[in-house]
Amino acid sequence: MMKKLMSRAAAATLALALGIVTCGAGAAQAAEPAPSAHDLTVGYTVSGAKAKGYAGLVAIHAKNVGSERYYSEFPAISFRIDVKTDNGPQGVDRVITPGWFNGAYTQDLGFDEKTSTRSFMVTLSNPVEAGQDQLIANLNFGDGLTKEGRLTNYITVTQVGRLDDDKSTGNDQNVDSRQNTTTDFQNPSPGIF
Amino acid sequence: MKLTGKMAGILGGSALLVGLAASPANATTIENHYPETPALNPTLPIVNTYHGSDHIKPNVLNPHPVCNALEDRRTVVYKVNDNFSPVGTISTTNHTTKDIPLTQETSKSQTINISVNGEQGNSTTINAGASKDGGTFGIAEEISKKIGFEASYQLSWNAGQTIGPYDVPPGYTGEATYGFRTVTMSGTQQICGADGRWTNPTAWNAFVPVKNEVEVKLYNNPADS
Repeated sequence: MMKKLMSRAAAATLALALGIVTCGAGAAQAAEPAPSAHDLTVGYTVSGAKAKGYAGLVAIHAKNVGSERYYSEFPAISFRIDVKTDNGPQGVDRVITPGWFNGAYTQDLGFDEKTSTRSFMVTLSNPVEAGQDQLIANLNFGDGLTKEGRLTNYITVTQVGRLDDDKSTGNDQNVDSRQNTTTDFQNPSPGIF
Repeated sequence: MKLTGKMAGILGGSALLVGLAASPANATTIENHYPETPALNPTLPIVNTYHGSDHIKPNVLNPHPVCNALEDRRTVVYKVNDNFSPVGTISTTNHTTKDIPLTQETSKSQTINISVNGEQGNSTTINAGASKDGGTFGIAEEISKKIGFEASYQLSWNAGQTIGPYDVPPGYTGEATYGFRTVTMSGTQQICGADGRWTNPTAWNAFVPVKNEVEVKLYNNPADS
């Protein structure tokens, strides 16, 4: 999987996207008064060379902002990724190839034409250590130029499977890429792909 | 999807095809409507198909591992489909004016086998008890048992099973389709990496015969067949 993505990324002259992705920052961290023991938040990184509506990779990270390691074998810790249409024809699908890292697995749940949303489900199998920003998945967008016009997308991620004592939902429900995306060099990015 | 498969099996006899062609007035296209986004089943189990030691050992690379390095294996099932695979059909049409108590006998000999793709490890905890052709049967059987199906390595139909009697009203056709009830499981398999964390998953699926099954139906409209 990794190798396949690598070659594809290289072909798309976006080799930087994968290599530097690991140093990506998490989401804009809300200043919470008392961090809870178990809490995950989601962030996005993208290559600075990725242009809106063109092909390229977007990396999705889960950052442990709690004070203890985040792990549960069953029920598994999982995230739902929704890729929605930002601009362009509604209800038009785009070629998106998911990738998975660090023992996570990304399932493609298909495209819902009514809401113009393509969904994925990421299931983790490894712990996220305290303070760690773990790369869990990436999405390889195909070219957004369709017959009906150029498509641009944004992403929201929602944590579905969680630990029982993870009560803070402010930073892991419908995390919008338009507010939480940086480039691989930590510069702000519009979060539209 | 399921319907077309069933149709293909049932429409073996050309008599039914003729019947369908003879009524073009209400011809409709058969469409299967289902949401493309399937409902996930979060209660499907994670099966540690092989767990060597009875406790988790730390290693040089990871002081706090979740599995035993290069030793443990696990399988996660994400989706289970319950299917009916038809083998043969007998149908009887009642052209009389009275009900007929119909008894039918299945007549075909057919065997179905378990099959597993993308297998990563040949070890399960159950292999010692029931080993058939290495670990393939073991993993699939173990997992289908966890899900709630009683798996079978090999199922076969033999001539001579009797179905019925059941009443067929005038003008109706009584049809017995016999075949196998099967379960298709798809998911991923992982082995424990050198640092005591699960490696990236690989795809896995299994086709498991569960039991012999007969579906009986009555119809007077060819479209219902």
